[in-house]
Amino acid sequence: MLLESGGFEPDASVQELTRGEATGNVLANPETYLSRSRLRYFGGSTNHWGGSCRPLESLDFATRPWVPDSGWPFGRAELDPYYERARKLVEVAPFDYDIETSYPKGRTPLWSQPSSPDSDPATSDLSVEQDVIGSRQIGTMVIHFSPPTRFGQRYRDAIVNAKNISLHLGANAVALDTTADGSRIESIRVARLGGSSYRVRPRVTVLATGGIENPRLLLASNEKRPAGLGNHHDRVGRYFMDHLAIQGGQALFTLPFASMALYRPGRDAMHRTRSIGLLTIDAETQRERELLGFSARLRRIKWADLDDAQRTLLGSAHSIDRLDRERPPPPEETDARSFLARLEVIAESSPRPDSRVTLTQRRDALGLPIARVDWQVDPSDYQSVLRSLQLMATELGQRSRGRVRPMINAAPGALHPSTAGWSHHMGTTRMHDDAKQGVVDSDCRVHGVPNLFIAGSSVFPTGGSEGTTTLTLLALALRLSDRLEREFDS
Amino acid sequence: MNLDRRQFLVRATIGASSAVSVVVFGCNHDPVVIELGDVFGDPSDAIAIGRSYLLQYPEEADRGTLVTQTLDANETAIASRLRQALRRRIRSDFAASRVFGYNGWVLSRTEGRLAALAVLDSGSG
Repeated sequence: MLLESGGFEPDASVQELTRGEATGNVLANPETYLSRSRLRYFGGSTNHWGGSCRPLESLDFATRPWVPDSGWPFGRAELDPYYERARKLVEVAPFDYDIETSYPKGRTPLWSQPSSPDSDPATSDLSVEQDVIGSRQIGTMVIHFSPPTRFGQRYRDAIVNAKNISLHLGANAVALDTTADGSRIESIRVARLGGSSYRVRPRVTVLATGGIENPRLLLASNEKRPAGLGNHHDRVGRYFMDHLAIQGGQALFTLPFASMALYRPGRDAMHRTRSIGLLTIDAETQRERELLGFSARLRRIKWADLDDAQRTLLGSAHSIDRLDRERPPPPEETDARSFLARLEVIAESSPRPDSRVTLTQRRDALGLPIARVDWQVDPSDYQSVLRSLQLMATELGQRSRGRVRPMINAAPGALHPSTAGWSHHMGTTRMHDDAKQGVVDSDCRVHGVPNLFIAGSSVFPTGGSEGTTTLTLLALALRLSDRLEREFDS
Repeated sequence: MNLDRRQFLVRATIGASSAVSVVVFGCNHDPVVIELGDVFGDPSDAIAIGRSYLLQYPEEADRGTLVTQTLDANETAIASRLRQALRRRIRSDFAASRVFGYNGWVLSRTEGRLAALAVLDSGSG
């Protein structure tokens, strides 16, 4: 049985149910944060997602001593077979994320290109200066793009025609009712806008309503347990995370724009999918420097839009980075062989128990308490972004490939004006095998309620950086599906 | 001959003659000479950067200090490799975080000193 709040098409009165309150030390537009990011009709948020796909890295699953409450109960290898199945659901070509060897000429990563393409090989470049240049710390990650797959369109017929699926539209779960001791789901109260309601009595329940609604329903299901369902240790709703989206600064590349094809959306014959490269910090450096996940997308600033100060800096750096040539480059060469880009940063926010979803006293049209999100970002998260940008600056400079201008104000309490959430709602029913530290176990089963499971990014203990959320929640859903089939269909 | 904006700035700041700033590295009896026009394709690009550098490091605001801080005698023994020596120094600046800020941009101290030399020689500092 599939209970879908909306219909096959968007409806304003149903969409109104996504309204809530948002506060915290990050959001520039809190009044629309909840309603603009979620779509309440068949297919859900896939009806407007951007299509970015990338698996979490191995480090994202690890317990990192510099990130309190980090660590998944399993490693990346556990999800690999499910990532492979998930990428087919979102119509992404086979995974190949080894950018050093996988991409054809013309879409190569930054460090594979000579710093000065027309310089004298006998005197130039890195081979003669290895004692000066440190080990590589900045790398490239690749995002593959789904078309994007709109699940409500792509899989509608399969679901509607499936003999083993009963689809209920306009059906809102408003309470999960349990046995007297709260240990099993007995029934679900379903309400429709317009006033009618009914009950269903599932053998097994999977809550898959998103990172805000999952904890909301658990907290509101409090007839038997005042603190809410699965909330014996006050973990439900806590550890709310979104990705930080920040205009991180600018980068000046003393390389031709044409040579940076990997860092623009493009399709290549090898992978038969659209993809883009983003600059990132490699895993070893993250460990050494105690940094959070970080990615920076490059958006070129056109030459005509540069001011005089930016053009003179381009000219200066272009000349300096070509000191290995016998003669300085002519000034007119700068236009064609150097460029300026904005750095659009998507960064990990660390899990914090005081960053949370709670219930307000107000109720929606179904009588359900309205949710409040209080997203608290630790100042050290901004510090991590700033330090990552500074690393990028020193590495680009030491490899004679450009300069960086970090534009983060990481002073304690400072709110960077360009910060926004990326609408990836994570962590609010986090996964941990210890019931005192999580809401679900490593099988995504709610602690203390053996016939209740949770699917979605609310189970993520940590969130990685750009592109990982949708593919990972799909992989987890497929894994959960296999578990349920083994346990309940046998 | 009409001058475009770049050419005008070069002439106005460096001087009316066709000579550009000359920097002498190394020992007095074995000097190694580089023209700043050999470092900056357009030395006018360096002026604003150099001014910023001198504001932050006023104690280096003379040619002798800037020259000796840029390269020592051992690094400049071979004239034909002077450009490579400068590049090596700049790269090592970034590797060792010997950097300064120019309008928020992270630049090498050595490129700042070279730009500062252009300022002092142009008389526009």
